[in-house]
Amino acid sequence: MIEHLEDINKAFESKVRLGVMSVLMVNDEIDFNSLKELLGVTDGNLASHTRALENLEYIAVRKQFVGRKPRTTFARTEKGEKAFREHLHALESFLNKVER
Amino acid sequence: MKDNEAVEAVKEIRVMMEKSSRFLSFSGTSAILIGVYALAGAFIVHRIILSVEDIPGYSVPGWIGIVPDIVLVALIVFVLSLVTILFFSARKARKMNSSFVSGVAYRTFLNFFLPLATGGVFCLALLVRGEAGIIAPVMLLFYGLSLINASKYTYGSIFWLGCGQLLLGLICAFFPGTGLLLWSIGFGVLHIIYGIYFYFRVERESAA
Repeated sequence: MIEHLEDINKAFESKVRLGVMSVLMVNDEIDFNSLKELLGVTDGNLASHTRALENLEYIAVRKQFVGRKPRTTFARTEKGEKAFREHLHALESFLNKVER
Repeated sequence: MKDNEAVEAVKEIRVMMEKSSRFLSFSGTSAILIGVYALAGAFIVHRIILSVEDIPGYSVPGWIGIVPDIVLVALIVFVLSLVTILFFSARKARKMNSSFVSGVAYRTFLNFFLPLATGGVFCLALLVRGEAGIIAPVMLLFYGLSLINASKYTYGSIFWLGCGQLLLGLICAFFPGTGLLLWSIGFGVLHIIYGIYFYFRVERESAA
């Protein structure tokens, strides 16, 4: 069981970060407000988690202006996708071990 | 990590992926109501058609005089259905605490209405060119294709409702005179059956 535990990514221990990555795996990009609504979190909470993921280079952040309003959109990076898949595999094999 | 944490994580991933990629504010009740409107509309159209055959010695084809009435009934059924589905979807979205107007909703409606509107305009062309007999199968076919197209962005079971409409549309295309009957089965009976299925198998289970 130890070897699988090593693959469990600490970055995804937070439910919000796990949620952000899950959404970005099935959507090429999503804007800040839609993400906030989907996850049911506050502005500040989401911002700090997305910043953490951005620092890890798991997600790419794009800021632009629509009219006068700033609009932030997120997309997964290759590194983020790889890390998330590995995390999923680790979860899977961990659960398989438990079942047996 | 404990095993229940892992189970929770997997559950969260699944929920977020589904919620962000599919339009889930659909209500079975609206499908049942749409089926009822369609049956009522078909019944009225049936009565209108019967009333025509009572006039003997008519020089122009009998159906020309009743076209405006039938189109009016069809439009009323369509508008009522649209209002019903929007109302129930918005209500369900509010209940589920999710937003009714979202990227997914937009994609679902675009993928549904693009083939449907094409079919609608095509039916108009058929009507103008006097090919009224083939309108019922064309409506069933385009509606079936619209459902199948939209099913990728909402509940997958809508795919099968679309297949049912396609099958009826194809049968209808080969057998003249079955138009109104098969149209009533497709837009009326199938909607009611699907709505009941959806209400008991999907809504009840997700609520429990």
